[in-house]
Parts: sequence; C-alpha cells; structure tokens
Amino acid sequence: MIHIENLVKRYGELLALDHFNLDIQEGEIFGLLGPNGSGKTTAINCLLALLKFDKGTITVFGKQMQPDSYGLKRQIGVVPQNVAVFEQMTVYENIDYFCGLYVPEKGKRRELVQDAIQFTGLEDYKKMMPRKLSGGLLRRLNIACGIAHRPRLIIMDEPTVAVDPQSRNRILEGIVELNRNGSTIIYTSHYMEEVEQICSRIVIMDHGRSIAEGTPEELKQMIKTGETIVVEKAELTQEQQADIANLPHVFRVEYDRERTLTVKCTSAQHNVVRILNYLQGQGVTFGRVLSELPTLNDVFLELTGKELRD
Amino acid sequence: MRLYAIRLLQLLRRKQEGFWGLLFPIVMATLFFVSFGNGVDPEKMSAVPAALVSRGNQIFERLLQEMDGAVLNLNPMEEEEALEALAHGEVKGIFYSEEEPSLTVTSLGIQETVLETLLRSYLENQTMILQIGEQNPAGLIPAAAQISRYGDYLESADINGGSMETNLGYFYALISMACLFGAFLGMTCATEMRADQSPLALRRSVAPVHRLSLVLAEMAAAFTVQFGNVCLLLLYLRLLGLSFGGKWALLLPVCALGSMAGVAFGMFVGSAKMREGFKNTVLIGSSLLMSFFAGLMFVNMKDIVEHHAPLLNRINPAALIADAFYSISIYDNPERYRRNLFLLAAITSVFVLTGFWRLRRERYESL
Repeated sequence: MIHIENLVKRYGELLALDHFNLDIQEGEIFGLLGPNGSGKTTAINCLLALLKFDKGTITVFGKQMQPDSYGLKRQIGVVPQNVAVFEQMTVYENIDYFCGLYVPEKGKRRELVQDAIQFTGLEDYKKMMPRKLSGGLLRRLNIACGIAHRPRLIIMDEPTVAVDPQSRNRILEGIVELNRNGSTIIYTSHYMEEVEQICSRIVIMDHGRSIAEGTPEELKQMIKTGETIVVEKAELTQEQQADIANLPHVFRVEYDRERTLTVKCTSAQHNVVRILNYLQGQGVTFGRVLSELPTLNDVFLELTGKELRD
Repeated sequence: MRLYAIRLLQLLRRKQEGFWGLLFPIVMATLFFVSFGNGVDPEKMSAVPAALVSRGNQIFERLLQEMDGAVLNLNPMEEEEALEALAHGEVKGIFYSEEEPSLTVTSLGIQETVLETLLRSYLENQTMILQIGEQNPAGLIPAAAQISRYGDYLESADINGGSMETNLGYFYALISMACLFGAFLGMTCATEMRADQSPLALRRSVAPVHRLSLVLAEMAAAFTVQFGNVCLLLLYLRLLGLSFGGKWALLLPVCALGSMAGVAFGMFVGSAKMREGFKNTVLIGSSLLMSFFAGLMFVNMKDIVEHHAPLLNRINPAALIADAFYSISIYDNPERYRRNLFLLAAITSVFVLTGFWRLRRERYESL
C-alpha cells in the first residue's frame, strides 16, 4: 500500500532522514516508534507531499504522491500532531467542514459526521466551541476531523500527546476499531507502551534511519535480553555480585546505591529461582523481587545504547 | 461556494479582526466627530479667498469673476498688496491674468489645490475658452460653471477653528485606514493556507481541494467581510452627518477596491515566510504608515508628499483611496478619480498575484 525507498531529507546540515525505507501493507496498524527528533513526522510529511526531499521515491496505493494528487488524498485521513481545528466553529461545524473537503454530498456527509461524533464520544459536546473542551476532548475532536470521511488510510501523528490516561485509552480503543472497520493505520509515537499495545508491525527509528522492523514479538527476539530481574534492598558484596554475573544465562548485573540489584538474563527457564537460591544460600536479606519481560524500550536500548524516553 | 460560506461565517465570528476591521474605525470616527463638531460636510465648504492681479488677460479675469462668490472669494489687487495679503494668510493664492495665467501659493492644502485645479482646468481648455470669449462672451458663464463644478458644493462656514475641508480630510484618511485594515483578514486567510505556517493549514493542505478554489474562496470571504465593515463605517459617518456630496455611486467602487487592496495586502504579507508576530508588526506598522502619509494624523501630509515625492502618493493605497474621495467630493475631477482607481487596481493585482504565487500548492522546505 505504501512504499518508501531510500528517502533522504536534509534540513541544511542536519540529516533528518537517512536512506529511510518503509513498506506498509493494507489492513495493518503500523507503528513508527522513535524518540523526539528521530524523523517520524518528517517521514509522514514527505509521504503526504508536504515536504521536499532530497532523494528517494514514495508511492501510495501504487502511485507517486504529488501535492496535487487529489485522487490519492481523497483516500487518506490525517490526524496531525498539533490540534488543527477552527476556534470559531463548534465541534459539529469543524467535523462537518473537514469532512466536506472530502465528501461534497450533504446527505452522506451528515451521516458520516454523526458517526464520527459517536465514534469519538463527542455527542454531548457537538455544540461547544473548541476552547471550552478539555485537552482530551480536543484531541478526540482532532481525530474526528481526520477520520470522518472514512479514509482507506489514516495517518495519526502522536495523537495522544498531553492526553489524560482515560482519554488515551479511549483513543487507542478507537484506533483498533477503525482498523477493524477496514482502515489501514500509520501511528507515530514515542510512547512505546501504546505502540506495543495496538500496532501489528513496528519500525523503530533513530537519527532518520530505520533500525529495526517487525512485530512486537519479533523485535523483542532480536535482542539478547529475555528477562530482567530486579531485587530490591539487597546487601551485596562485590564478590557476591560477581558470582551472580557468573550464573547461567546472566549477561549483565547492575547494583546501585539504593541497594537495587538488576540482572539481565537471556531467555531461559528458572532464572528467578536460580538467583533467589543463590541469595538464600549466601544468607542475603532482600525486599521485593520483580521479573520483567523485555519491552520495546529494551529493544531500543540494546540497539542504540540509549533509552527511548531520552 | 461551501468553502466561501463557511469561511465567511468563521471570519465573522473572529473578535480580533472584528475589532480592527469595524470597531476601531468607528471609535476613531466618533473621536474625530467629537473633536470637529459637525464641521465636516463638503456641501458647506467655504469659498477660497484669492487675489487677482490684472495683467491684461480679460477672458481669464471674466472667467474668474464668474466663479466669484461660489467657488472663489476674488479680490482684485495690485501685486504688492496681493503679496502682503498672501503673506498674512488673507488670501490663499494670487492669480496673475497674463497671456499665460499663473498662480502663486505659499503653502499646500486643499484650498490651494482648488485654486490650482481651477487654473489647470483653464489652461487645459484655453483654446476653447479663448474662442468662446472672442466669439460669444456670454458663453463664458457655462464655461466657468463647467470648470468649477465642485463649486456647487461650496458654501461658507468655519467651525471650531478648523476649516471643514481640513476636517473632512481626516475622515477620508480614516476610511482609507479602515479599508487597509482588511489586511488582517487577508493575513489570517493566508496563514491558514500555508502548511508551514499553521497546523490548520497543514490539515487543509492534505485535503483534496484545488488550491485556486481555496484561495479564491478565502479571498472572496475576506473581501465580503471587509467591504461590509467599510460600508457600515460609511453608514455610521452618514448618521453623523457626512454626506460626501451625495455621490454614493462613486464612493462605493472606491470602498470596494480599497477593501480588496487591504485584503490583498494582508495576503501578500501573510503568505510570506515570516513569524506571525513579525507579520502582525509589519501589517500594523505599514497600515498606519500608509494612513499617516494619506493624512490620518496630519491632514496636509498627503499634499506635502505630493509636492516632494509624488510617486509615493501613486503607490500608497491609502493615499489613492483618500485622493479618490477628494476627487469625488472636493475637486470633482473624474479623470483623477479614474486614475486613482486604476492605480489602486494595479497595486491590488500585484498583491493578489504575488500572494497567490506564494500560496500555490507546493512542497515546503520545512514545516
């Protein structure tokens, strides 16, 4: 459905996209995950023919995307990163206006606008002006304006920034439902939990490059970490730390001033049991013990050497 | 049509633009009116005192005498006496009735311009008037009436220490400023069409709407609102007692073109790649500067500019609008009126074309 090949975009000296490649299939919820400034929004804006780029090709639905590709644009819905609505128009009027840019027939549009209002849960607010809406409701209006015309492809650029947890959950559920109703979705975010929760396939971006691509499970299997075990309030000598580092399947041990022991293990059975047996055998007292499966942040950390949240 | 209608509704609801476009000029008009009293009607304008130094051109002298009382307050004098009267401000100018008549004035103002216009009209029609004077002296009466048509509007009055012509000039400059304040609407429209200037523009840029349709709809909506604002201002001035010589059919095209010039100027500035705050500063600053040169703060400024840098008056939309008003209600000079409209249309076209070129559908370097 979307094919991006060797896309290069420079802002003066800054290389924003460095031979970026992407393939998105119809029916996916495709996540573009990366820290701020990694090139996600730049890639989206190039895809939408808003930005000039230095090199590369972009095809959408098998055709080259141009600023005047009205036929292609008709099939795309965009939810921009910043809320983009008219302050002087009500919720209903805003959705109707943006839907009208794609659907000129009044009768059909009325139905679509009602559906979008219902879908985003804005029934009680449709006569209100945007300035009277909370941050979460504004985001929902922003989404409604982008999806009301029932596009085949929906591009959502960080739609949950500065949204409260309840609204965020509602938005994420809505995205899954849109996909179930037949829309392909491109979702950019720097919140790994969201991407992991809803995306069927993910590209991790850093410095304008795609550093890994696959399903969430595939991405986690790309890294060495299979399990992270955290032991709180443990009094350990340096010898004991070295012993733990030599236990089977353990490849990294960290011990901090708060007396928290963090042990990274490869994927194997009974990692926790082995560590606890060692601590008991040494007569070491300790507090809570936590075992965490790898996250996309671990994937990013291992691939780039830095935290995704940085 | 839908794009136009919705944009119209949306612009009408904008409070900031509503203030600058309508309320601010109305407040200014009220302040002017309170300051000047009701001495602002050109129908009550005073006859211009002028000296006549006889040098033998009897036809010219007779022509001036025909206008004495209505347009002119003519005082035959010797040259020395006339110069003294001019120096003391008792007369506004001295006509010398030589074979090639001439005029001496010491300052620039509307009354001096009236005298100059009379002389120029005579010189332009000299051959015809000389023939009439030689073959049918009685025919000089209609000839004089033709030259001094604006005399129909002049009667005596002088209120609050300032002449009515002067006071009226402030209102003309105010209307010019009101027209140019359409620039705020134009800038809003332009900013909301450039994807690198606002999120709203980005969202509209990815929609399948032909760019020309969008720009035309935006411009038409902004023009409608602005022209409506200026018409309401004129109505308000009419309620205050300004009649503009009753020539509404000629006033409205000036207001329409002036409003369009304002909107186009705003689109021109708004479509440039600058920070919004800077654009606002440019817009307010240039509108006020243009209005200043058109006589908003000092009514004789337009005449001073005309004397020292006439080109500035030909490219300043505010001065062109104000001068078109003068042409209608004071000078009664249709040719000058048409010239002003033509120049205003030309400047507006430059703004519109440049604005459209900048707002065409394109890819941006950065967003």
